[in-house]
Amino acid sequence: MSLEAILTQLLMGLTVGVNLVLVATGLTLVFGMMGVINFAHSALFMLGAYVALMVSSHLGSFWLGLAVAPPAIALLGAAVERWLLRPLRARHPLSHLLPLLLTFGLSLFFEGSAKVLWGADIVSLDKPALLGGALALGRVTFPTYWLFALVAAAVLAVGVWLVVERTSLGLSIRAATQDPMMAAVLGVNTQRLNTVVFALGSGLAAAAGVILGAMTSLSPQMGAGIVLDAFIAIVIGGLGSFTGAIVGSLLLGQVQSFGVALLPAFHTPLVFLVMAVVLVLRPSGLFGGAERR
Amino acid sequence: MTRWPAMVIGVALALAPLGVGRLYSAYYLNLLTWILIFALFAAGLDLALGFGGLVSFGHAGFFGIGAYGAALALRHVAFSLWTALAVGIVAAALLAVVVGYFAVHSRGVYMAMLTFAFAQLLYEVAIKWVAVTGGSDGLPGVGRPRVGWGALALDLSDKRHMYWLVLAFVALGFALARRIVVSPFGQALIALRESEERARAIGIDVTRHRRVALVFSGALAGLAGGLFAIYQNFVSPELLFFALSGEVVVIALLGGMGTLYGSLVGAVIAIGLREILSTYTDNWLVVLGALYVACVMCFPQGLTRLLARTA
Repeated sequence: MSLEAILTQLLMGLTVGVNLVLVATGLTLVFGMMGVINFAHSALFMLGAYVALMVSSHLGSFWLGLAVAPPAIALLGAAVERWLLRPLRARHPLSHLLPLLLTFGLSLFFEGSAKVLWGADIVSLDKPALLGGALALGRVTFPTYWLFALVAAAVLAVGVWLVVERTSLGLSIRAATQDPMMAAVLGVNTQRLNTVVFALGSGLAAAAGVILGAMTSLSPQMGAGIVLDAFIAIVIGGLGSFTGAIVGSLLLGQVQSFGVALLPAFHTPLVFLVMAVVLVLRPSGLFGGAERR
Repeated sequence: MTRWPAMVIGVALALAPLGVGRLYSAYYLNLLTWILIFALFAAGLDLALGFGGLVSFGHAGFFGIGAYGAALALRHVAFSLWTALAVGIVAAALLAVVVGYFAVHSRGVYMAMLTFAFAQLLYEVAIKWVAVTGGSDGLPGVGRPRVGWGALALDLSDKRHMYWLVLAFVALGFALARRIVVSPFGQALIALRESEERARAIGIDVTRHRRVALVFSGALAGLAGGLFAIYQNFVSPELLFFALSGEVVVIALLGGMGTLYGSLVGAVIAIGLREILSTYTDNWLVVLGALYVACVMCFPQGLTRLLARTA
């Protein structure tokens, strides 16, 4: 590979990786705090893209769509947590499988709803003319929209990182991830925090849905692939670990980008192989501490 | 379940083909065949999940390798039902040995992800190794072999005969699973599901028990896969896909984990309802999803326990 080709692959891997961070954050924080693997995450990602499509086709602005979809889906996420997951957890605090089944059912419901509302066909979300074409960065040319996707997702990811690491809300989140019972005893309202974190994760997934949706295309199943990747990323990084989600996502972005370029036929098995090797060597992932729960 | 209801259900199932053409069309018998195979698949999972506490999210791997094993054996080894099913079961059991070797040390969600990774690897192999597996197009079957001798022979291209064969194997599978559960081995398994520490303290070899449980579980799933390959006369990578792993977990959960026969109830609801809904409305996914949610919120112990309580 030439230097230019390597740089291009690096940039592409980074674009994918940073967007994976957005999807993975919700998954890992929700797991860390509630012990729930959220199967509906892919549906929230997808719904974000469709809400943006609806807004932008009615109001004629991609930017409005990008601004409206994440908060709308965050509200939906908050409702799911408040009215379904919370009562279920109150009744069956020890079950891992019931929330799994609940979110599995929700993902079918949302996917079915998308088919009813917007049809099963592939549609495209038009990106603004401003972001068309390609940009030359030194000797590497890169599609402008990809650069936008990289920067927008990076800004959001850094924002989330600042919230988690530097604010009192983030302190509560980290405390509740380590030990929900102790955090509650020390005065953290963990019930409300769960809702907030679920909403935050849903909104971030929706933002990634809009950004990546405009890059590729929209369909009711569009979330399955990326959320599977995000899943693998957080398993590699260590479930429940925010740092792990970031490292795992960025690593997976590169594995995929270079995997596609160097081993086109084997890049998908490669991803699973990386995960299996990490899990065999470190059963709790790279940044997973002693297993909780 | 007491003995009587089981026998009544068994007799009713055995007589079901007689109603075809009179009470209902062959479509429903076909659907029932499908449901039975998936009930066996879910019972296999239940052995690992409900009794062994092994959270597998890759059971499609065992089912799919059983199906591919049977299909390939019919094609390349011998045109015989027994060879085909034996190859399917052995392939699935061997896979369970390998997966068990790596996976039993991890717990909960991590184990789910590791089993998931193995199944997904096989899915990729099935798609990429086109020369053997036919790639994403799948592998058309070479027809269904005859079973038995003379007047007692089953012609498996006849839907009713296929159904009876499946029913016999599913009954055998359930009986075997039941036998395992009530055996000292099964009781030890339940003990370590309830408390690993206590089980270890009284001298149960936790790792070995988990591995053996996974092999039994995988073998049953492999049998179900082999039956499915012969029933459909076609195998495709979908049989290894993670959506199928999810579906079988749903079936086991809906029916009630740790009951075995709950798998039958779960399969009737999940598969029967999906098929019937999809013939009536295009929006069946919405209804099915809402139904799953309602089931979790209202009958979280599984439907069989709800029935047991009201009875």
